[in-house]
Amino acid sequence: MMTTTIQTENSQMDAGSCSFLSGSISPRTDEAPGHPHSDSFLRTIQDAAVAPDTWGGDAEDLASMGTTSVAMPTRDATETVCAKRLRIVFRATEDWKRRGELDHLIGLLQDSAEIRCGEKMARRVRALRQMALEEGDTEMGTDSLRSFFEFLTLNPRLRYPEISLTPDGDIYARWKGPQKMLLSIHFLPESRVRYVLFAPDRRRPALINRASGTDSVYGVFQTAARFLGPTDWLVQ
Amino acid sequence: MTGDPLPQGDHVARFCKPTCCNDDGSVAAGAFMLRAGESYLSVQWLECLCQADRAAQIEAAREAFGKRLKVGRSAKMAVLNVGMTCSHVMRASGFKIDMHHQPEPADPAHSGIFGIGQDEELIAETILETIKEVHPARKQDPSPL
Repeated sequence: MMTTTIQTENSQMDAGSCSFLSGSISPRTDEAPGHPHSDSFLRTIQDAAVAPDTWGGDAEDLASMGTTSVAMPTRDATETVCAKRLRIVFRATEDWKRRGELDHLIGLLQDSAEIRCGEKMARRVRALRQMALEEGDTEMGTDSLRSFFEFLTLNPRLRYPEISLTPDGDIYARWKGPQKMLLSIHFLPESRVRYVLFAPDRRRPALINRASGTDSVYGVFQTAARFLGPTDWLVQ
Repeated sequence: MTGDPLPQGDHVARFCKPTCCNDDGSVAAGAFMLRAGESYLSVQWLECLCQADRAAQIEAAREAFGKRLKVGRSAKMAVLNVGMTCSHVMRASGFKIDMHHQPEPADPAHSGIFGIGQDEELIAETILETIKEVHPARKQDPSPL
């Protein structure tokens, strides 16, 4: 019978976060919960390795995941083990992405030295997340929060906005200015935004001009500035 | 009857869940945006609730929301005038929205605001300008003695 050996030391994933695949697992305790190196994340992997029902594999195959090599009888079996292993990693990564990344992003917002009111915004986002969990029908969108964080990183001097969620759990930020001026941004996945702008007409200030559209987090502030004119009221 | 337009002088109440409200308790634009797959915004037609005054209508709307939805402590109810809201949105944004009766066996005052999907964010922001009253969506617990 042909025997194939899999060297797990070479099983590197492109995301550095998956380096735990190689060799033994040694949890780091200095990482935030939800981080790929954190205890909870590694525990997810280890739990998967002892809970075959959750992925449909053999307990023995899984039990050997933490070792440096696995002896398998055939090439087909080797491929099966590789596929199973990838499935476990994929599931754990997805799980982290869904739950842990929100914490991670809120932490970044809170700890940012550049973003004005970052701490206050992080508190509000955390409260909204909690409310969404209590409502039970919506989960805050990780991709939306990432776009929001990206936007704030690019425009760190913005003052504190009204922050709420859309029915689908996306972040919606709103800055109100004098004379009914308004900038509202609905943060979508992949750095996209939908924006609404209100500004008084320059010749007849009683008339309010309104605009809306789609832009990226990189360009929306410039788009808004062109429509609104001076943006001092948006900046702290 | 289903699909009948609501009278211009009547009022509707929209349930606003806590995540669609601001931290000062005001209603946010998200309360007038559609969830994925929705084609209209659900509202309660207050005059259809057959109550003597506005306070009783609000109480009846609260009950109706309570039967269908999970009502959080900080959830709100925004009251709109049908004619004022539709005409303001038309005038300010150029989009035509309508309100129609959508009765259900257990909820005869159920109605809908149609046309939001034309430009959700802009229409939602414009509707916010026409809110007449905001009430708690859940009867407030009596304060402890």
